[in-house]
Amino acid sequence: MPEYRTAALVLRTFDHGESDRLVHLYTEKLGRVSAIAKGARRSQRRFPGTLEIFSKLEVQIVDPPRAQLMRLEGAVLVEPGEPLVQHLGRFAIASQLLEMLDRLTGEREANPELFHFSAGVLTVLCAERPDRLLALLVQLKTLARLGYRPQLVACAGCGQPVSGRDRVAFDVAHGGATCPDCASGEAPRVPASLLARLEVGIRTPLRQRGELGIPDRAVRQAERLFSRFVLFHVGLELRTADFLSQIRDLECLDGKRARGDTAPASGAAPAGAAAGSAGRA
Amino acid sequence: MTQLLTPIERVVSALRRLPGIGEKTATRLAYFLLAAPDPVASDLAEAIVRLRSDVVICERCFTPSERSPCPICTDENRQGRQVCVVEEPADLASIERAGNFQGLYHVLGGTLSPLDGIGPDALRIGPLLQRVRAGEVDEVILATNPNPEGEATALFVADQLRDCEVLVTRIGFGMPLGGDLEYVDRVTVRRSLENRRAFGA
Repeated sequence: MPEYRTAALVLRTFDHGESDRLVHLYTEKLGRVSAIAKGARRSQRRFPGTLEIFSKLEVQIVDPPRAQLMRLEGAVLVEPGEPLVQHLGRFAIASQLLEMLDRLTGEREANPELFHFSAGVLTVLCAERPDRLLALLVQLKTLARLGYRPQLVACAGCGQPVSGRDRVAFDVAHGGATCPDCASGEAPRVPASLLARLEVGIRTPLRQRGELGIPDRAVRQAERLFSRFVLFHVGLELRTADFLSQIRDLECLDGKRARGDTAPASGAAPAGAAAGSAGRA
Repeated sequence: MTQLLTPIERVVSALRRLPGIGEKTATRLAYFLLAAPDPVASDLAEAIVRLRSDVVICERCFTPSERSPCPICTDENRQGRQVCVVEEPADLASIERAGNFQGLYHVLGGTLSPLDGIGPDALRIGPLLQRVRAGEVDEVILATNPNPEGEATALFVADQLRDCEVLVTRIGFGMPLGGDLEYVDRVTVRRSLENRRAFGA
């Protein structure tokens, strides 16, 4: 019976039967998998405090022949997701990342680079005061790694550079920025400088996002563009998008500290964070 | 052509919609009901019908009850200025079984769960704020579960109450009764130490 040991992020959990739990994991070696954790709801010893969303684990999974689901044999907590629930903004951004991993990746399609990027984002989020630009950049960086990278500095139709212009069309159907010859009439016009800064943002560590110089008004404009972009190209509405929208209205993405938030100040890695994992985000 | 279900298949199909019941269990229960003495099946059917017709939601705490306001909300012997906020009616029942809480309740009707598309708008937070702002409450005890969704919900409710003159407390976390330090996760151990108290206090 094949057995795997791999690092994993807990994406979702569901009660299964009277004593088991079905766990969706994004693993380093196997990609996204679903596994049954036998006795997880009844026993305090089998998976203590490990099977919660956002947790980074070292798991042991077996793949019984002819079984529909893999079986989670063991899990060790490497990095708890606790700081992510001490601020609603962090909770929302981290949830959107998990939803994208859960719904936009194929079962058992290994992508170690995406795993390390995602683990790094969660580590960075644990120590950040979340703002709207952080939420937007996490979404764009994740989309890029999932193969949905929008065209931001070259025309999505003909490939000509568009960054020298004042305003360019952002044509969702074409895949992003478009030159006047390729743009459709209805595509909204946006500052080329905003798209250029977002292009830099995709390649810049999240902690340095303040250096991009993107004003809040421009972030709001970009949020609207990419919400349509995701709907068109991914073909589904992310459940977490509405949540993010609601907490933006509650000013939970204004870069302030939440009451009772014990996470370290921005830029500091939380205790126990895996060395180097934040560097990829 | 639509194939009509047999009576047994209809029962199996209905039972399978219940949480935690799969095809095999549903089939076993259906055949049990078929073979059981007469009052078993008819009593169950009547109880289910009455569950839907006789139960209302309490207008104050939002727990299912035979009348509104519910017996807990109208009990003059309870400490009415203390309100315990829980996720679901089953959580209220657990606290009542413990037998040492004499205050009132507020059932939120769920938790914040972005992955299920459940946001602040889906929780019953408005009526709680009304009770607090009306000066009816001295203490709000946040008794949502200690998982990510429950923690985020407690944070949200506390944040909504930040401008109210009310004491907001969180239920304690720590070692479970019968637990074993060797098998408890490090977050629970850390919280147990943070929430320690003087011996005998």
